[in-house]
Amino acid sequence: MKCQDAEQALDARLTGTLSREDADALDAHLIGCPACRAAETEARRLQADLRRLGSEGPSPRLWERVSARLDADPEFQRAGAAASARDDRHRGVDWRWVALAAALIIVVAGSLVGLRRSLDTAPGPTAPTVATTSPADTPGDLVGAIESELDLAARHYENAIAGLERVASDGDSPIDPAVMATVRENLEIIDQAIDDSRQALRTDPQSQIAQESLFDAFRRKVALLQDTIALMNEMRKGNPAGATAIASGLNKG
Amino acid sequence: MPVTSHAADMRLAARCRAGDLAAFEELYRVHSARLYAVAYRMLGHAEDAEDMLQEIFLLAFRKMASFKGDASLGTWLYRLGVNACLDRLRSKARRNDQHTEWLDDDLPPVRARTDVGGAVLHRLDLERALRELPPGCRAAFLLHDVEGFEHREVATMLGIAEGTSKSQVHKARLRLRSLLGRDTTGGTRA
Repeated sequence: MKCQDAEQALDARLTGTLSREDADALDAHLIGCPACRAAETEARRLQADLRRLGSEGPSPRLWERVSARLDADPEFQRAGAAASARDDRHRGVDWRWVALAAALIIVVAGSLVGLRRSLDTAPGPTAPTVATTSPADTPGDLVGAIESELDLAARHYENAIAGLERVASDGDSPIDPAVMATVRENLEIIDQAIDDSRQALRTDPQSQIAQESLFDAFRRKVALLQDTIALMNEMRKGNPAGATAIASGLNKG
Repeated sequence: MPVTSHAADMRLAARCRAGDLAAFEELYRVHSARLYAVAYRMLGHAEDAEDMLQEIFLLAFRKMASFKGDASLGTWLYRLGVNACLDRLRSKARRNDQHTEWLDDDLPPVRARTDVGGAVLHRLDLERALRELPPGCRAAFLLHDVEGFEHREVATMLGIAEGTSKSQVHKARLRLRSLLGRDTTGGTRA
C-alpha cells in the first residue's frame, strides 16, 4: 500500500467502513511509514477529542422549553385536538361498547316488564312482612309502623340513588349519547315502577307483593346506576374486558 | 443510537403526528443527548445547541408525516437534526456576509495556540479551532470524521461533489492540526 492509498484507507477507518482486508494492508503500511502512522494517530485522537465535545448533554430543564414550544405551536394544538375528536368519535361508534350497553339495558328492561305485570295482577291484601319485626300493638299502629319502616328504607335508597345519579349524569360521559338516552328511558321505567308500587302500598299498606315490588324497583335502580357508572369507568379506561365483566355480572344478578 | 423495533418506531411516530406531548417526551429522552452533541459541535456553543434542539423537535413534529419507517426513527431524527444544523450554519454565514464557505488551497499561516508538547488538549482550544473553519468545510469535516458519514453521503447532504467533500475534509484536518499545534506533516511519506 502506498501513502495515497493509506490516506483513503484511513478515511474509511474513521467512518468505520474499512474492510478487514484493507485494514490489514493499512496496518502493514503504518508499521513501515512513520508519517502515515503519525497522521493516523492524530486523526483518531482528534476524532476522539471531538466526539467528547457536547457529550455532557443539554441542561436537565431543556425538555420544559421544548415542551412549552410544542404546546404553544398552533399546528401541534390542532393535531392534538383532531386526534382527541377522532378518539371520541371512535369510542362513540364502537359496536362492542354499544352491544355491552344494550345487553345491560335489555336485562334491566326485561325484569321491569315482569315487575309491572306482577303489580297489575297483584292479589288482595296479605299478611304484612315488615310488621313481623314491628312492636306495634293495634292495626292502626301496625300500618303506621309498616309505612314508617318503608319510608325509612325508601329514603335510604333514594339518598343512594341521588348520589349515583349525580355521578351517572356526568356531562363528560364516555357513553354514546344515544345509549345514554336509552339508559335514561329505562331509569324512567324503573321510576314508574316505584311510583306504581307506592300507589299499591297506599291502597294496601300490608301488601307483601307491593312492598317487594317497591324494594325490587329500588334495588334495580341502584344496580342500573352502579353498572352505568362502572361501564363509564371501564370505557374511559378503554377496557373491553372490564366492561364485559360488568355486563355478565348484571346477567347473573 | 438506541435500538428500537420498527413497530415501536411506527407507533411512536403516529403518536407524535397526533400531537401527543408524552410521545415527544419519549422521543426527546432517547435522542436528545446525541442531537445536542451534534448541534454543539456544528454550532460551537452550548446556547446555540440548546436553541437548535428546540428547533429540531418542532421540525420533527412538522415533518413527522414524511417518516415512512425506511430507516429507524432515531436515524431519521438524527439526519433531520444534522440538516437543521447545516441550514443554521448557512443562514448564519449569509447574515455575517461570510462568503467563504470552503477552505482554499492557499491557507494563511496559522500559529499554534497550544503547546505542542502538551499531552491534554484544552477543550476551549478545540472549540476555537473548529470555529475557525469556514462553515461548509467544518460541516464536511464533522460529518465525515466525527459523525461517520461517508463522502458520498456528505456530498449529498451538503449539495457538493464527492471530490469536494474529500478535499475539504483533508484540508480541514491539516488546518486543525496546524491550529492545534499538532502538525505531523513533517515526516516523509512513501
